Amino acid sequence: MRQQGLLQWFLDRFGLKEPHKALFERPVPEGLSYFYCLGGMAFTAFLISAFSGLFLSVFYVPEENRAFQSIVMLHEDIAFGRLMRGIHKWSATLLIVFLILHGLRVFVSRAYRPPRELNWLSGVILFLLSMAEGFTGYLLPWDQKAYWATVVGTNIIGLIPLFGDLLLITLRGGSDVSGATLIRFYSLHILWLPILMLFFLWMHFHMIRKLGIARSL
Amino acid sequence: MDRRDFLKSAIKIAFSIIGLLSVPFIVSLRPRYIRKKETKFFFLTRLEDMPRRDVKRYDLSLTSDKGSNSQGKSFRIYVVNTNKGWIALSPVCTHLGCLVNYSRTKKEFICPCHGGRYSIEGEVLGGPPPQGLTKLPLRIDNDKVYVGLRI
Repeated sequence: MRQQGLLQWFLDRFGLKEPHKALFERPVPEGLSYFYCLGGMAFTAFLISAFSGLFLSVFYVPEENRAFQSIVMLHEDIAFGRLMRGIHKWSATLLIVFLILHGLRVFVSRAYRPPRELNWLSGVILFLLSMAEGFTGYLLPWDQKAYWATVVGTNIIGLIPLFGDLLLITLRGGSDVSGATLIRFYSLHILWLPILMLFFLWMHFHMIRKLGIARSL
Repeated sequence: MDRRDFLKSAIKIAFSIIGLLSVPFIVSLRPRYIRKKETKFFFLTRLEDMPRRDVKRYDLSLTSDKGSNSQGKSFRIYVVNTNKGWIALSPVCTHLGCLVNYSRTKKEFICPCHGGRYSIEGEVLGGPPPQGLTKLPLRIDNDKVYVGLRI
C-alpha cells in the first residue's frame, strides 16, 4: 500500500516513536479500574475545548458593542456555528466534571502521597486554572447573565483585605464591568490561562511519566 | 573566563533583563485613569404613572445619554410609595451586587444569590448585606419624574 509506505517513510525519517516510547509504552500496575481513566478523559475534554475554541476565536469579537452580536451571528449565519459553540460549552463543562471526579479518585486511592506531592499540587493548580477559564469564558457572551455573574464574581475578589480594591480594578480594567473587562477576560481566556495550563499539564504528565501510575490499593 | 562561562553569564544577564522588564508590564495592567462617577438625572416616568401604593418596578434604558459609555445600558429601579412619599431604590444588593427582586407576598426585597432580605424601605432585615439598598434621588419637574443615577 502506497499510503502505508508513505506513512512508514515519514515515521522512519521523523523518528517520532523512539523518543516517545517512554511516554506511551510504560508499565501499568495491575488492578486498575476505569476510574483511572478520568484524568485522561479530562485531558481529552481539554483538547476538545482548545480545538473548538480555536474555531470560535475566528468569529468572536471581544468588543463591547459587538460581542453579543457576533455570537448571534455565529448561531444564525455560520455553518455549524451553533454546534461548534455547543461543543465548546459542553466540553468545558465535562472538563470540570472529570477534574472533580479525577481529584476524588486520586484522593480515595491515596495517590497523592510522596513522592507524588508535585503531581497533586500541579493538579490542584490545573483545577483552579480550569475554574478561572470557566469564569472568564462565562463573561464572553456579554448578555445580562454573563454581565451580572461577572459583577458578582469580581465583587468577591474585591472583598480580599488590603489588596482587594487594587485587584478588583485591575481585573475589571476600571471601577465597573465594562468593555475593558471584556477584553481583559478574553485575553485571559484565550491566551494567559491556556498557556499556564499547558505548562502545568506538562509538569503533571512529566511527573506521571517519571513515577508511573500509583499502585492501586 | 573561557567561552562557556562567558556565554553562561551572558544568558543569565539577558534573562535577568527580560525578568526586570516584566515589572513595568505587570504595573501597566493597573488601570491608570478611573473615571469619576457623577450623578446624572434621567427621565423615569410621568407623575401619574408613579405607584399609588407598594412598589413598582421600572426598567430604564439609557438611549438619551449619547456619547457616554452608559449609552444603551438598562437599569432596573424600584419606586416605593411610603407614607411619607416616594423613594427610589437601586436593585443592586449591597452584599455582592446581585439584583434583588420584590416579593409581593412577603413585602420584602429578596436577593436571589445569598438570601439577603430588605424591608420595603430598603433596610436590611436579614442575610449577609452590610447595609441597606442604595436610595436614588428623585426630582419632579412639570409632572415628569427624573431619577439620579451614579454612572
